[in-house]
Amino acid sequence: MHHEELEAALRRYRPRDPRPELRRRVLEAARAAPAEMPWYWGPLAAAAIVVLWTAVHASRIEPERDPLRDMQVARIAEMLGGGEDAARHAELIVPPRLPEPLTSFGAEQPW
Amino acid sequence: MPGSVDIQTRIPLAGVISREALTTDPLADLYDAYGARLFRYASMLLRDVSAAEDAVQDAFVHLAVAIRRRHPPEVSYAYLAAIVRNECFTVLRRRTRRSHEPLPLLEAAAPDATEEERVIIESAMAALPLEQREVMYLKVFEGMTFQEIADRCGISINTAGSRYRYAAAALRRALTPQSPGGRDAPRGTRSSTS
Repeated sequence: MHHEELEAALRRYRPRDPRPELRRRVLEAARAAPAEMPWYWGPLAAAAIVVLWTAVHASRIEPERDPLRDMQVARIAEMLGGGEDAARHAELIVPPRLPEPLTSFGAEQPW
Repeated sequence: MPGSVDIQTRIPLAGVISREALTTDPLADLYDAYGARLFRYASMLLRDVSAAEDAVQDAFVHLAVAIRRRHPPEVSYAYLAAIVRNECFTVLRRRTRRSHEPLPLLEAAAPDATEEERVIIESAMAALPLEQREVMYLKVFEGMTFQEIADRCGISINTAGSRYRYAAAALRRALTPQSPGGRDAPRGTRSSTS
């Protein structure tokens, strides 16, 4: 049996057509398909949420006051003549207090 | 007229942007032009009517999504067939077993066709490896050249030709088993009833 004969034998049959209801089913599904958003919308939305969350929480955080520094600032502001300008200058003059170094009692010993 | 669109015909969609237009006519036109052909292709790959219907449906859903993008594609049969093919291979990768009793995939197309021969051909086609079955289907039932088959399947023209030859040999064996006397005898009721 040659290729031509084989193909002729096969062509005496044909693949079946789809059921008529497939058309309605396919078109309904296609019409109901959600519009696909560009890929960058997901990461962009996540980043926006993080920024918003951070901004909201940052605005609620009260800066930790250092009473000793506040006292020094007030004293220097008084020395500068008092008033808002003096207080602002005093804030710039007095450095923030650095955290205390760990004592040998609380620090981990190196091996 | 449905089914009469040439393989090279392209239905331009680039100018169709409105949601109303996109969700009615173009998809229906595309289905009328190519839906049955796509289903036949999928059913021959999957050997499962329900899975083939799902593959065609998923392909049109992907197409609808693509059309709604800013730059809708120019849709040809080759474009849709590539989507359906991808869907079929996705199904085949996931599939552990067929969930339905397979329905007949072939039907008679000639007056002298017989049910017995149909079963033999369908069984022989089903027994072919997927790659060979696809090439045989595209060559015989879609009338594609080996070059077109190679382009569709992403293989060389030589590979397409060799797959066809292997498939043809297997089908030939199924259709003409060795008779006890050593001579080939065609199978099917055509020979038995004559």
